[in-house]
Amino acid sequence: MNLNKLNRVLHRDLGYFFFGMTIIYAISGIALNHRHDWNPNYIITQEEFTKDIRVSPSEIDRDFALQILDDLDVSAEYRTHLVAGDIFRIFVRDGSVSINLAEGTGELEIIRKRPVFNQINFLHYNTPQKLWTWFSDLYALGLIIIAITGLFIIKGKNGITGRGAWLTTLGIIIPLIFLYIYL
Amino acid sequence: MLKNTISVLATVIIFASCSSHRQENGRMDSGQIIETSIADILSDPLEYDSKEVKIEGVITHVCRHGGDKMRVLQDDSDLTIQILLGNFTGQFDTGSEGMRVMVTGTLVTEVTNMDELEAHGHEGEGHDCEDTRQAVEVMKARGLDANIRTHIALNHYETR
Repeated sequence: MNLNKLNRVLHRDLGYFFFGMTIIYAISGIALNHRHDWNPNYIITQEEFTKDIRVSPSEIDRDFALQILDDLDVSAEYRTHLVAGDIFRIFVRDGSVSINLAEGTGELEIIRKRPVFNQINFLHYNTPQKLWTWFSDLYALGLIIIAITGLFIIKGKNGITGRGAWLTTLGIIIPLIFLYIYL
Repeated sequence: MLKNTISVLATVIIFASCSSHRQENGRMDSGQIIETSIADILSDPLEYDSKEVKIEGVITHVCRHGGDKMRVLQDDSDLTIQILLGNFTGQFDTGSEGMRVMVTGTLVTEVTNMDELEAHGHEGEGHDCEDTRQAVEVMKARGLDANIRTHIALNHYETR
């Protein structure tokens, strides 16, 4: 096999093999880039309410917490509760209810994992660690090989000695400009 | 005879080294980790700075964005401390809120208002402070109160 053919085969097969990984990292990358504008991991809904509860913290127990959930029409499963100062908090599956005992105000927060994004971000953050670290390192190495072999796929005026050289140079200069401006 | 003597000596040395190793581990465990409370840490954070501490409480919040930090509440109080999860990121999520946790980690402190030194005309001062205690002293010498932020860098945990 000559060098040109090896180059093409590497580019083609690594491209196929890492297609899924590229899509995962690309979608998750866009999602995480904008994490200041939205929450890519969870869908959080908050609902404020007023509830006048005249009770001392020592009187609060599981039954009382269940009664409050019932009053608020919260059907989520009770997990536990706590009282911290004036704040009475009931933890339910996928959320919590917080009530300020002094002010009689409260908030119901329901948290659901954002489908697809939660899972791909889990991978992008390298949360699994262990073998995933090795596979994602392998992917990164694969990307480098795909990038380098990609330079030499086409020959002639549209190849790396012609149009390709200009575009490649431009692609390197743009991040350098950003570094110059922001660093 | 010589073989027997060497064998006995080797056995004695191996046992002695194993035994002393176990004792050292025991001492290190009990000597290095300070079992304390969130209230004690918050009342005198510099006392625990850079030391390994063990606290217990209830997880009240796990970061919704990166899942890389959480807050733990001390029982019967409204005192909380931030825990940076580091390598444990992802092992806690919003479903962990309300769970009891025993946290062992390194206490980290920092002065958050060092820029006030520059605002008071002491440009560059405090930038080369070796630790938080020194930074606090530098600020105190200039008549400024240091705002100390405290967190625990997680090394080990147990949930209940």
